[in-house]
Amino acid sequence: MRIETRRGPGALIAEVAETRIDAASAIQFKDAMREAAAAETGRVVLDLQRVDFIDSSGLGAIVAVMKMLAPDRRLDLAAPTPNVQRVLKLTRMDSVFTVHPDADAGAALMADAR
Amino acid sequence: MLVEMEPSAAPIAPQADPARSEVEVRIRFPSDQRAVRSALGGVLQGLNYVDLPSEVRGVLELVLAEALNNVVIHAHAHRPDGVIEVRVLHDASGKAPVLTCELIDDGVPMPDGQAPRPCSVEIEGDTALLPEGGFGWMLIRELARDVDYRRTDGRNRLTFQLDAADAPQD
Repeated sequence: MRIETRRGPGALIAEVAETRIDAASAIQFKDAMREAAAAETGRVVLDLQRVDFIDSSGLGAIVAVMKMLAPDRRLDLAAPTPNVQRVLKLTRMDSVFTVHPDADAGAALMADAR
Repeated sequence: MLVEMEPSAAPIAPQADPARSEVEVRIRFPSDQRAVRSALGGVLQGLNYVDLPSEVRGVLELVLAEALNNVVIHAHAHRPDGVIEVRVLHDASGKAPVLTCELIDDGVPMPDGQAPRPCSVEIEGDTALLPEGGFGWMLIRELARDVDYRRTDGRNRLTFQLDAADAPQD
């Protein structure tokens, strides 16, 4: 699982460079996110713009990453595609995560919030 | 029209026949998560012969993924040689097009002999207590209708239907 990271204004942006976070890749996603997040401190924005499919295992993996970073570090989501939005909405996880339309804008908001 | 696919094989290309209102895709594959991913791709590829709205394709892939992953994780938990068969029928003969899905496996039966009801997942409160699972059947029950589970002749058979019309959802 490839995660590409870049430094945003107020947060580390971790972009999933794959089209799926599913049962077959959930564990690899968690491992890759653990590694990506360890390179920096502070808040993290997960950029999902390239992910066009997520299932409940993939969602569970994102929740696991959120719990791994908490309580010191916050995880926000950004740029969910329609298939990802559907899963977030039906599971009501859109009320647990802050979801930004755009990762860079979301990271900038986090900078303002400090 | 029947599109029959084997794991790791190209679909048998059906004759495009606009007069026929039914398209069926069947795939048999080994019960593991990589094969589930391939099978989902195969189902969607087989349904390329149908003009499915992208919304419907997304819902179909999600519901099938949840149901199939449950078979891998639960029914075939101790069956490394388990086999799953999935059939998806697109029927456009009625007033609105419908997808009927059928999953058959040779694993252990569902607990209590019935398909799980969605239990409400607690998402309020402490982040550390957020659930990382339990969303699968919630999604199936939210998106599919006429969910039916039968245990016959040592096999599980799960069927459900999805609306295949291009309708806005709330």
